[in-house]
Amino acid sequence: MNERMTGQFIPGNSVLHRLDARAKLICFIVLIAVVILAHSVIGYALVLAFTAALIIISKLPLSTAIGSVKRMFWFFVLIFIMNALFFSSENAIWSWWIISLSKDGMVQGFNVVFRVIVILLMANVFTLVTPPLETTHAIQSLLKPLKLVGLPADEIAMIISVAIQFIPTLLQEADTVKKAQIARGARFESRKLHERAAAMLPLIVPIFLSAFKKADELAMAMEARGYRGEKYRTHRKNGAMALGSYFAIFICCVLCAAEIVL
Amino acid sequence: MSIEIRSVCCTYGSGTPFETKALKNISLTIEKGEFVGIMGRTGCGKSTLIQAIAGLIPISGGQLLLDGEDINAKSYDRSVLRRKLGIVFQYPECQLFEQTVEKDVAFGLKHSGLSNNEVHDRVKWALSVCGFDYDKVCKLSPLGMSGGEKRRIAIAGVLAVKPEYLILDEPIAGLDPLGREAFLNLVTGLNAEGMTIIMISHNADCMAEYARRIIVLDNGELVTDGTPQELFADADKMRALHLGVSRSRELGLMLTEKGFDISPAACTYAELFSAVYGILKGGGSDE
Repeated sequence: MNERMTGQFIPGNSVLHRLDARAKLICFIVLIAVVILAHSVIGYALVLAFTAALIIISKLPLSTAIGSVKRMFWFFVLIFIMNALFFSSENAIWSWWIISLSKDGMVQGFNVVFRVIVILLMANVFTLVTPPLETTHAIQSLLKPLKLVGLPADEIAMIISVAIQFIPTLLQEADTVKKAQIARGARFESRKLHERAAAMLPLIVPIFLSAFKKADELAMAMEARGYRGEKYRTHRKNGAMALGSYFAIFICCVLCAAEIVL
Repeated sequence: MSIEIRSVCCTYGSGTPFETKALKNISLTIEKGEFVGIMGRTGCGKSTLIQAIAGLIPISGGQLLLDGEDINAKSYDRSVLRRKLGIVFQYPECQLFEQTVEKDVAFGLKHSGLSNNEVHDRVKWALSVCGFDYDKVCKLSPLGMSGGEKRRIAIAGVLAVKPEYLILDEPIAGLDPLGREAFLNLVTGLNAEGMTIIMISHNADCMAEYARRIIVLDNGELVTDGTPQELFADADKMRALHLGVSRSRELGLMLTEKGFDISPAACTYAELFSAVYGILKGGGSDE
């Protein structure tokens, strides 16, 4: 398996790469709010400009940065059409049976697609510039206050980081099993749906088996190395956020305020 | 009737910052009936080469001809490739999934167009070749068997198709000494019946004993191609490639250092034995 996944971390040295992962996560959450709050043409333009700026300062190749959106092109087309045709039956431009094409629907479709695309772009940039381990540490430290109400924040972060680290391994495994089954004569490219579903079985069974086996082995390896729960672990980066991080969060909050006003 | 590899190149992740050239302009021909070993240190492109031959990964340059037909041509029928060429991956036990051994071994024959009786005969044959009693194992679950048994079941699944070319990626890794020998004898037997064998292994001993021709790859390039005798004669080069020589050749070198005249071509146990035997006999008549 040597194909890279969309959104997989690419090492770099841009401002975004160096920004504290906790700040990036907070900014990302604020920016989701920004996108949802945008409701005017100027608001949309501002969001779009900001996203473009993010991509430029991340120094990522454009094709990589927008890769996830390109992949889901037909999904967006479908959402737009569904909204345009089914959103409202009043003020219909054209209608037939339960379908009615309306201006409101088209606007609604545009809104939904625009917001999903922008959030997806931002999420993509976020994962491209943040190593997965830093992300989980960020989640861990942001969930810390919830420990007061009994939420096992450290364990949750551990689960997430283990899950993330297993993705490449499992993908590689899936790739090997797939090749082995193709070499044995499996046909994954059949046109009939039920044949294709049946063809997935030789993939799913071995991958599940090995995932369970790997989970068992990992648990044993962790115990053998003295893991006694997150309570006893310390992390390398535990310091307070730098001034730049607060500045980044401040910018995002300003943007958020601007969207509410506009 | 051969596999022709014509200046094949293979690049992973082209156009990304992670581009790596796994194969660089490899050319070689493997004739029908040969027993070819492929050696090379980890990451040298062995697995990439065999996967390219099996048509499982796209190549970025060159041509791969199986019996004179380009397997990457659009008009080429891939099912012919699947029928002619079997591939056993490293740890093939991972590919088992059916409820019974019989169904798993027969999986590759699903689209072969054979009648039920023929499929049954093939499965029976493949299982017996791999050392199983058909009546005892056919209704068992392959997933509940031991590691070594699982591997043999998986190999039976590949053999059931009766491929003309059989590719094996590190087939003996993790087998016990007896299982290793039984397996290599099985492969030699198939080769004697006319099946072309292409085998990847790090084990210099097994390569010296069983392969008739060894191809060495390093860093995606073809370094040497010759008989085990030619290859292991140059012990320094093999060590420089991080491959080492067979134990018999190692012993031969030690004896040469002590002043005995052992041919550098003696790389198998039998060859070394006869060389030592010759010296002992010769020495005896001198005295």
